This record gives sequence, C-alpha cells and structure tokens, in this order.
Amino acid sequence: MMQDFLFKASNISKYYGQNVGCKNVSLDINSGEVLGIVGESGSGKSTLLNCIYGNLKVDEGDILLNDKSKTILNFTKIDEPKLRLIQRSDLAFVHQNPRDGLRMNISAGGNIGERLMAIGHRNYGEIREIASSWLEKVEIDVSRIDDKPSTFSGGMQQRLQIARNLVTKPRLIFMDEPTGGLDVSVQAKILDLLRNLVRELGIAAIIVTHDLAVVRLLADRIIVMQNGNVIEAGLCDQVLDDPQHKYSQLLVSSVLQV
Amino acid sequence: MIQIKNLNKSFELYNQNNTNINVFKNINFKVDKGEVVALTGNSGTGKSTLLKLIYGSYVISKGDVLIADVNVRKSSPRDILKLRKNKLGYVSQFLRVVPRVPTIEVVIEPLLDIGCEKKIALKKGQEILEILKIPKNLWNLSPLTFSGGEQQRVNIARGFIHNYPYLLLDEPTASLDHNNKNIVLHLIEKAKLNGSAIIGIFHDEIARNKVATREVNLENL
Repeated sequence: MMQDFLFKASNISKYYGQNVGCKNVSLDINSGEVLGIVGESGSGKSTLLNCIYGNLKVDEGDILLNDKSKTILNFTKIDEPKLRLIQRSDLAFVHQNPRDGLRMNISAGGNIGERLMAIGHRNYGEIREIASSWLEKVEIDVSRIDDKPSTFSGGMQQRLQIARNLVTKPRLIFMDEPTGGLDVSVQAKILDLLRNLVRELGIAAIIVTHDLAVVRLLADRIIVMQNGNVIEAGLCDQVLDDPQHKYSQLLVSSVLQV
Repeated sequence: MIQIKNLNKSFELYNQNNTNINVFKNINFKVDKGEVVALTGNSGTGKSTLLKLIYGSYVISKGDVLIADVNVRKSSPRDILKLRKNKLGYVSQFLRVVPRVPTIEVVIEPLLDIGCEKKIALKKGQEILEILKIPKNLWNLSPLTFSGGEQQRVNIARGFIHNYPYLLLDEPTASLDHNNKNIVLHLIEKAKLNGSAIIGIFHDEIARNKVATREVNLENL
C-alpha cells in the first residue's frame, strides 16, 4: 500500500529569516487526483508549492515522489541534475505569470516543440503537428504558430504556457493561480481540459488558487492555509460548504457566490 | 442499507458572534433496499442538511451515518469520493458544472468516472436525455444557458445514468411541469424496483405520495 502514493510531502517548513513561509505542512496525492491549496495572498500557498516542486530549498521536511520505475525519490536528498531531470519528465509547473514559464523569444510552436524534443521527439513534421493540435486545444489560432509569445495577449500567453507544460503528459502538474489572468470563457475551457486530462491520463494536479469557484469545479480535496500553516484540510465540498475553522469560514463567506 | 444513528448536527459560526445553531438531535432511521423514504417537516428542520451529512458535504457533529459497510463520519476524503463514484448518487436542486461543457458530456461524466468506455457512456447518455425529453439540438450546448426545468432534468440525467444503489434526491421535481414530473417519478420508481435505497425531499405532496414508501418527519424525532 505504501507504494501506491504518487507524491508525498511531510512536515515541510520554510523560513525567510525570521518570517515563516510555510510551517509543518504535510500533503499527499495519488494519480488522477486534484488537490487545491487555498488561502489569501501571503498565506504561504506559493511558497509551499515552490518548495514541494523543488524550486525552493526547504528548511525541514521530506518530499517523496514515486517515480515511473516505482522508485521513491526524496527531493531533499537527490542531487541537482537528477532533480532537474525529474522536473522535466515526471513533473510540470505552470507559473502564475506566463513570462516565467515561457521562452519569450522563440515561437509559440517552438515553445511547445522544445518540451517534446527534450523528451526525445526528433521528427520535425510530427512535432509541428502535435504543437498545432495543442494550440487548438487551448484555443490559440494555429496561424499564430510561428509568432513569438511576446506578440500574444496575457491570456494567450497563459494558455500557451499550459500547452507547453501538458504536451509531455507529466504525471504531476503544479499550478500557481493558473487561470488567474484568463477571461472567464477561456478559463472554463482550461478547466475542462484539465479535468479531462486528469481523468483520461490519470494525471495528478496540485493547484494553488484564491478562486474558490475554480477549486470547487476542479479539486477533490483542498487544504486551507493561513500565515504559513494548514488550518483545515479535507473533502473539497465539505471544506467549502461546512468549514470548521474560523478563518475558513471567513474565507468562504467572503466570496460573492461559489 | 442506509442507517442513521443518533445523528446530531449543529453549526458553529465563528464570524457571526460565535452563533451556535442546533439543527437537529438524535435522528435515527434506516432505509432498506427498494425503499423510498421521504423527509418531511417545515423549512428549516434540516432536511437538506441531513442529505448533505449523508453525502459527506457537511461534517457530522455527533452520531453515525452508515452506508452499506461505510461509516461516513470515520471515512477519509478518498473513501468518501470512492463511495460517491460507485455507490452514492445525489441530485441537488442546482446544476454546478464547468461552463461551456456540452450537456451530453456533463451527463455522461459519472460513467466516465467509473471507467466506462466513452462510446457506451454516450449511448446511455443519449438514452437518458431522450427519456427526459431534452431536445436533441441542445445536447451539444452547455446546460448553463438552459431554462430552470431543463437544467434540473440535466441534473437528474446525471443522477440516474448510473444505477446507484443509494440515492439522495433534493427536490428532484421542484421546477418541472406535470409531464416532466411524471417522467422523473417514473425514473425514481424504476430505481426503487431495481433495489436502490432512496432518501428524498419532495415538497410536492402528490409526487411524494406517488413514490415514497415511508415518510420520516424531522419535526417529530
């Protein structure tokens, strides 16, 4: 049974000098699950996400990934090149700001194709075809395939970033406010795309957001953070419909309607 | 069987002067296979709350809810999700779906979630949409643009596409006209004959008398 989990972080703490980034946070996720991390800005959500992805060095705790060959890797123990390799193959990270996740000076098609080449694709025609189909999936006009993302709107850039990250079919995606900069109708399309990928490919996702409507539609379970601590965790609809902690109640009741 | 044992529910509202709301105390009843139990009682007696406690959307304050061999209060979120996917259906009054997803996809989702092949799921989806008289030209549109009655029927289609052995129905016929109401009552009847254990809230007395095998009045418990 122990081998069944996909990813597990235990007792993660990160301090910025005297300040707490996140403290003693544990979470785990299996294939095909979506875990939401909610809380107001400054609650430590993004810090936590960057810690467990391996972007930020943690001060305490263990981060375990059950990799493709069923070997359990501890991010705090493996060396840098090994970690980068895992981040490229098993994992993906969708940044809040698409400029952090895209190469702005290469074409849209190149942004997607680069990820394919990194995992061994060599046939140019095939790469271009896959890139086109992904542009379609995220509703970017295929005629823009040779344009640089710097000529795209913010929302298009975000969709391109998502395509770039999903094209290699990672097993676990980390997302930091992925739909934050998107208008509502495109946001819906992305949500639907994510749900289908989760179901059809068994991808798992950890999503940081302050948008409770997004987590309600996407997440199976959520954790609520405040001041770097997890104050409540559980079934998504249970935490949103019957929050037990004072702060969760405030958070849920502050939203117009979810 | 669904078994409700000494169930208590209260809400603690910390941000509203620490108000404590006691919804009900010591609810006890059982629902066997092939039974439709109608919850009755005035507004505010906790009928919907009770359904949400059984479904796991609300936290049980005291007591137990047993569904087959699952104790809802003691189950992990993953176990609850598994129970919902395979055994426990819930039809609410409100349709909550990802915008822009076509009706047919919304309806077949419960089948896809249990690993049903898409082709088979689509066929079943078309069947149930036909039974519920949702016009074919709407199947590929998002239900969010539909009328209240149509949205409710999409919700019902989702709830009845899979033969859940346990079903919770919150006002399934509330905004339906006479004919559509009868279609839905017929679906409930069929599930009952199939051996599902059903708990429902039916404000409409005629509907209730038609399908309910028993009533549980939350005011007299």
